Amino acid sequence: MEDSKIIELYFERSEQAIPETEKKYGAYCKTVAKNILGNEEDAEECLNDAYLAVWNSIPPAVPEKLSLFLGKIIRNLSLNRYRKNKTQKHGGNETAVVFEEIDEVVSGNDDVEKSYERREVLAAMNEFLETLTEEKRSIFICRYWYFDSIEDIAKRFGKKESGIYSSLERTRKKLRKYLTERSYEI
Amino acid sequence: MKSEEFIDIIGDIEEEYLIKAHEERKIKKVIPMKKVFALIAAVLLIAATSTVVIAEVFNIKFDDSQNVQLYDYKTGEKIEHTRYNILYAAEKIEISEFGEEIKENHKKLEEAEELHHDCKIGEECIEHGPLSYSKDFSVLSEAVAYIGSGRITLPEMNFRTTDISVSQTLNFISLYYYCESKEIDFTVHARIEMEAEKRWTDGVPKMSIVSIGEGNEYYEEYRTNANGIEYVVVYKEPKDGYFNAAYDRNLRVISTSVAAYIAKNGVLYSYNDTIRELYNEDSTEVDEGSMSNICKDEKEVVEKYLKLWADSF
Repeated sequence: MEDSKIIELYFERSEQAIPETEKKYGAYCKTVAKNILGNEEDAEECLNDAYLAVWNSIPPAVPEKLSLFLGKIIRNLSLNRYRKNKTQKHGGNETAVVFEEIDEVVSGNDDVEKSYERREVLAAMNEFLETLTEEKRSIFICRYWYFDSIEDIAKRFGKKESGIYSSLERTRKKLRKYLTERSYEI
Repeated sequence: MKSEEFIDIIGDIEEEYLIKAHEERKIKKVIPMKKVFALIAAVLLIAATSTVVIAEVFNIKFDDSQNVQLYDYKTGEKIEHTRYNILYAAEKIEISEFGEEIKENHKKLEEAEELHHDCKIGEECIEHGPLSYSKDFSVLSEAVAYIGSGRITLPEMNFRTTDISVSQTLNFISLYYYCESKEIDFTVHARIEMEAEKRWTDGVPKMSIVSIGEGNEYYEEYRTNANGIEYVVVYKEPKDGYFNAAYDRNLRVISTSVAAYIAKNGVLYSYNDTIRELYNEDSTEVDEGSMSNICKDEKEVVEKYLKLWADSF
């Protein structure tokens, strides 16, 4: 079913909206959740929460791209669940690695004097992504937005895992440099 | 800023980028580039030799000076070495009397990899130093050091002349098989050459970036030697003084990566006879086992070395 039709179902408050969403985007959302949480059960629960969140968001929201709208919701819910799990010390090993990688970019400190507006950092981040080649940008996003494993990314881009590691490492270094040069010592 | 907060910010990046990445995620590119290149090489070889069976393209002979020479299987004519046909010749040599030696080299590579497993370029690698099997094996150990640190380099053979020594060839072959066994892409340099060739044909700016996949970017700089012959220098990290190789217009290698990898702290990491000679001119500190602490200014050394080679054409 077309995205616009699915969105119409939400606006009509038709219960069919959720099965249609699940049919079209269930696997995609579950992959994102599973990438972050590392286990089936938590991913499934997040998925159900996500459907409920979408149901509550549309209307009034009218997503331009339903897949991304869902992706953002499932990503946020999964990250929240991951944080909760982390305090209880279980699950999400791959995500822990992703956070460690990101630690190379950020200071890890909550320095009040250097607290920047989130939107400024986001704008700089978008500018930085624009400087990357399409492939490098996509590899970066697959890893840090979708939390895809290195193995999966390597397969998708037809590269070796060492190549993906290397690409991500360079991009992280460039990102840190880019932000630092613009006085965002995050 | 905490990493979790930054990950949240990444969550709000431009949708346009997400859409493109999402499209990529849907495409499964399962054909490793190595296989593609192998296929291209095979097709080119078949095309070039028409009805001749690939396995019978070359004859390999060692002359009295222990040099390797390839001969056309049918006509008996000498064949100028290229990376592709040397690789092919490698297969023949492996099953010859040198098989055992290659196996032994393979074992040494394994040891080198273990030693350098967690090395980072220019740091721990230097502390470990090139392994002292022999001066030829320093070449291999350097390559493995980079492999161990997630980076790959290959021992560049000097294909400028038609003769290659047996030991060089065996090292090359050993590394080839080693890379194969570790599923390491051995075609990196071949790709640079292919890319360089394309750029010569198309016409290129003075300096450009060559992306050869595997997360590697190389920088080309086009120069002219004392005799007016143009050549291209391929740098890995220009500002740090690394450079990778240099090729003339016919893509003959006119410098070697192993001879010219310079560590960030200015210590020469690897060497070969040529660079040893170069240093002998400048310093009395050269010894058999190590070239450490000889390079005072890496950039100057690299440039001098490169110019000597380039001007010899």
